[in-house]
Order: sequence, then structure tokens, then C-alpha cells
Amino acid sequence: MSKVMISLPEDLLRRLDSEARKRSMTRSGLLAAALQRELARRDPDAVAAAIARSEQRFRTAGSFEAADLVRADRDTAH
Amino acid sequence: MTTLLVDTSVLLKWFHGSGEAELAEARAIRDAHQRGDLEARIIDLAMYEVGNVLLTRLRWTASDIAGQLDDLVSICGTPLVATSGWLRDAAILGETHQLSFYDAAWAASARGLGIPLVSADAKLIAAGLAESPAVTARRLRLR
Repeated sequence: MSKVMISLPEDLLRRLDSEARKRSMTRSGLLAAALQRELARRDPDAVAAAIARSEQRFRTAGSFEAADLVRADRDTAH
Repeated sequence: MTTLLVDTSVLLKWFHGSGEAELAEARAIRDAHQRGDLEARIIDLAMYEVGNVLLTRLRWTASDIAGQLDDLVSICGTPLVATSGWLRDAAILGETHQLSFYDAAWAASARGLGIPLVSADAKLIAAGLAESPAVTARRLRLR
């Protein structure tokens, strides 16, 4: 694990620490998670393609109410 | 930017249409997320629930399930993992509202993140722990 020195505006640092406390995380942990999320940001074309593929897969799934399936799954999963 | 936690019942409506209630509202949330007008996040529990529904209820092939879960990550980003604080809160919410730990984990995660939980699940909505796609779409003026 490398150590780095970064500069942040005071207000942003206060928000970072407040959020880290709320999530029971360290400052470094939250910063790493936020950075990972930023780096993994989806490009619009990839999202559109993933949605199109998903709709195609569900096209032959038949008629149902998703909330009913999920409720049945939640009630039997435990 | 508005951020929402979207549960499995809503995620499925994003892709499946036949027989679905609140379809237009769920799709409006999806489209707003796609445009970047809001951010829809998921927790790791969504992956298990979607996978289980596809495997045991819809009898999809392993290949299709894996592809769907990959696409879900492409659309919503890496699922968030519950912190110990969220899990403690889930136990309290489950006890208070007579919910399973699974149900309560959704609500506790949203509370931990400080964002609304959007769900089509009657149990979570009745407990006042989630808002329906229709309520979200109306509140955010998506339709």
C-alpha cells in the first residue's frame, strides 16, 4: 500500500470525514472507494448497450410482476 | 445530483415489461440514470436477488445469468457493500418493523447512505422504508 500526500479544500475534507464517520470507514478507505467509483464511471454507450442486451434477454421471459417474484424469493431465502 | 438506491423489484422492471405495474415510472428512473440526470446505485444484495430470481424463478441459463449480472454492473456501477453500521441498523429496523434481515438490509443501506430507497415491494413501502417508482418519478418530475 502506497502513501500519498494530497491537497483538499477544508470544506471538502470536513465532508469527507463526516461521511467516513457515518459509514464507519477510515478517511483513506472512503477516498479509495470514491476513486474506484470515479474510475469505473460508465460511458453512455456502454450503458446503452448493456440496457439493450438486458431488454433482449428479458424479451422471452413471459408475463409477471417483478415485485411478486422478488417477494417470493425474499420470503423463501431465509 | 440526486442519488437513489434501487432495489431488485425495480431493477427487473428496467428490462422486463410484460405484466409489470409502474413500468413507465421505473423506466423513467432508468432513463434519467442513463442520461446522467440522477444516479441509481445498487448494493451487493441486488446481485444475489437478481441472480436467484433468474436462476430459480425464470430458469435462465448460467451464461445468461452471468451476462445479466455483468450488464447490471455496467449500468449501475460496482454494487455497494454494507458496512457494519448499516448491518447493525438493519437488525434494529427488522426488529422494529417485523421485517426479515434481508428486507431490513435494503432500508438500512439507504439510510446509511442518506438516500431514498426505491422499491416496488409492498412490504417495504408499507413499512414506510421505501418509496414506489411512481412516487419517485412524481417527486423528481421525471414524467
